[in-house]
Amino acid sequence: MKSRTRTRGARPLLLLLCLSASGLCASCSGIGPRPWEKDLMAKPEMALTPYPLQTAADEHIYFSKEASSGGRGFAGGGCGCN
Amino acid sequence: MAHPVKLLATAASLAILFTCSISSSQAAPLDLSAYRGKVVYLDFWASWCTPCHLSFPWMNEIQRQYGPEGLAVVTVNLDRDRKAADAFLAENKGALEVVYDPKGDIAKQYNFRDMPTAYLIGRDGKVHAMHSGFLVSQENSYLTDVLALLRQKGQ
Amino acid sequence: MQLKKRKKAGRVRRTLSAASATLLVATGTAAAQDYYGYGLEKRNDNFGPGIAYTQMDSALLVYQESGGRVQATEPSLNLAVHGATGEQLTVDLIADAVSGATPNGAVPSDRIQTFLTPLKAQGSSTTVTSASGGSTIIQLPPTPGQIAAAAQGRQYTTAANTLPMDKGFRDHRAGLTLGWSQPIGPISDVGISGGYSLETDYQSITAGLRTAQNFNSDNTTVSLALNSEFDTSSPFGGIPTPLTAMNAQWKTVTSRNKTQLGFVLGLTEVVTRNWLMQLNYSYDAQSGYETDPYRVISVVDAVSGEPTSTLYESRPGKRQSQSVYWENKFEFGPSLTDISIRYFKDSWHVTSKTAELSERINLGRSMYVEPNVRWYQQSAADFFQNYLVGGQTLPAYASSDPRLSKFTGLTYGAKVGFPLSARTEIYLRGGYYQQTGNGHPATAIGQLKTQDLFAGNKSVFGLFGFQWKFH
Repeated sequence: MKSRTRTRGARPLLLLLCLSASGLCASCSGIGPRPWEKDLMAKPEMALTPYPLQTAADEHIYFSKEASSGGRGFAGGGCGCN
Repeated sequence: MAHPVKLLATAASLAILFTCSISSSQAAPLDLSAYRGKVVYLDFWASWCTPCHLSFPWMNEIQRQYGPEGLAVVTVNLDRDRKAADAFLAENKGALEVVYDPKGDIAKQYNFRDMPTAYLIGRDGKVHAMHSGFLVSQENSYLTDVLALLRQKGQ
Repeated sequence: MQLKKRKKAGRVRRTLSAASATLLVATGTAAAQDYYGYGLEKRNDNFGPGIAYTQMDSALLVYQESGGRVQATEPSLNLAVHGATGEQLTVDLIADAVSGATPNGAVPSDRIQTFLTPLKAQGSSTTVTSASGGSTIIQLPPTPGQIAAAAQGRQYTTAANTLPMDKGFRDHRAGLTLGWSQPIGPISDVGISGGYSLETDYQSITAGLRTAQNFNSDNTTVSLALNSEFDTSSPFGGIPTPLTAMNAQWKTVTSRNKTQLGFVLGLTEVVTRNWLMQLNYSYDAQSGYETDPYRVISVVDAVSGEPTSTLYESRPGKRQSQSVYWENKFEFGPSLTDISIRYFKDSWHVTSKTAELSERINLGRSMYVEPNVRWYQQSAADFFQNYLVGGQTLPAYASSDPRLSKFTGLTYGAKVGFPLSARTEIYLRGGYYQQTGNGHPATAIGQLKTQDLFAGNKSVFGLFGFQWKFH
């Protein structure tokens, strides 16, 4: 049987989370830094996979020795220039 | 011991509120009154923006060639680190006007969505066109816009 | 002052008539052409959007498991050609040479054990030398119904109280993958890729499609990748009938296939100036030959725990899996933190959790160090068994492959990198990976109580890499 105190406590906080998120979207014109604040994202090491062969080597080892594999994505990040 | 969901929700809410708390800064609008009667090419750039490295040689050239006709290229630098901006300018060699806006107060006034962004302001002081990004293959069309404003009869 | 709405990157909004525009183009063209020069780009060390450049990555991985087990050497090359307007061509080349002993799946015993595997079929050019890993060639009586020439077999023995291992394991592999992606119209990225990989007993063909869309001033990216794979397993000795006795006969079925289809749905978000986040959901469905044709499982006596026979393993013909992957990269001053977690589960009832943390610390401009740690935990597949018990009905599926067992894996690694210039970088990464599992289950029978039944591995690996960018 679910404890009543758990669900009661979580509700106001979830509400706060939703309000913050919507407030964020409304007032900040979307989440994230402005186009001129992307200096750190422009750095090569901040790319999702800055060292593709290192990532591939790791994945190969784990794929060969474990039952799970994959998960990584490929797109996004960067300075967004042009 | 606090419930983990509560903790996570609190942490996430605080993180979002903190991120969103963009202080209402005293955004200073850029004073272009000195350029009234001239065509202003207002370019926003930063040293970490790779297409900006391509735009500067082009802007240097149009300033050199069309300055006498009344073109004023005004660049606004958005680097947080002044040294990075200086290194960029030293590399690109030119004599373009630079306005430093490290906190982005001027940029916020224009509210553009891309880096670099340039505004073409006519002799009347109004924005007539905007260039989002900089592509070498588009240099001719950028120039067309500039010349159109420079050689336009009347308004 | 009027602010016009922006169009897509690089496009221009004109408010003048076309006539005056054409009049002015002619005079303007010559001047613009003078100034655009590849020469200027080549002098500058600029690599990024809007600039056409190529990046070449080369690396060498050396991997060694403890106890004379698997050893691999793997050189690889990745070439990424970037166009000025977002096009990208990638070429990936990989080769590997693997050798060493590998556990065959049987349990250790307090007595010497012998195992029989096929040697050579008549007309076949593949063979295993008699000297490989202490095996001996033995003569067999030809069996009616089997390929007549399989009258010789390879036999190897395992000492008492040792994990049975097949030492005659040697393989080479080469693979190539090609990919092309570019923005198309309003879509930020559309890509296609294809790959082919070949080793002595395995062939794999892959194909993929992907697309991504940027929103929110490129702070948000939604992506979808579809991937497919078609594998053909042509094991040495042929495909054994599952759960039949291990023998030296060359099997009549020479190869079997496996098909895989899957997708990865991704959301990447630049949350703040310092924080990049990625959240992906992956789904995968496989159908076909999932069994390892070289692996066996011991049948042991119900009382003494002595292995009485050895059977080829068997796995289901279908497997579906899902995973959720969440990664965060934070950059604060001279250090960059990369933390990721992944949750995986599949239709074989394997569930796993992975957590990884890397910390890149820049020491000046020409060097960085990056320690990292990875924690991994998986549950056993529902058909995983260390051994089968004689007298009980054979299950439909059974495998003693440690890859499907319950274990925890810890990797400790460190990387050191030297950006030699804005164009080149050398790096060296080393790591230690250890799997730990329960080698003494409470249900162990007889002599098995005294044996370590966990066949997972400990390994050390080194990666040497070189990255080079040029226009």
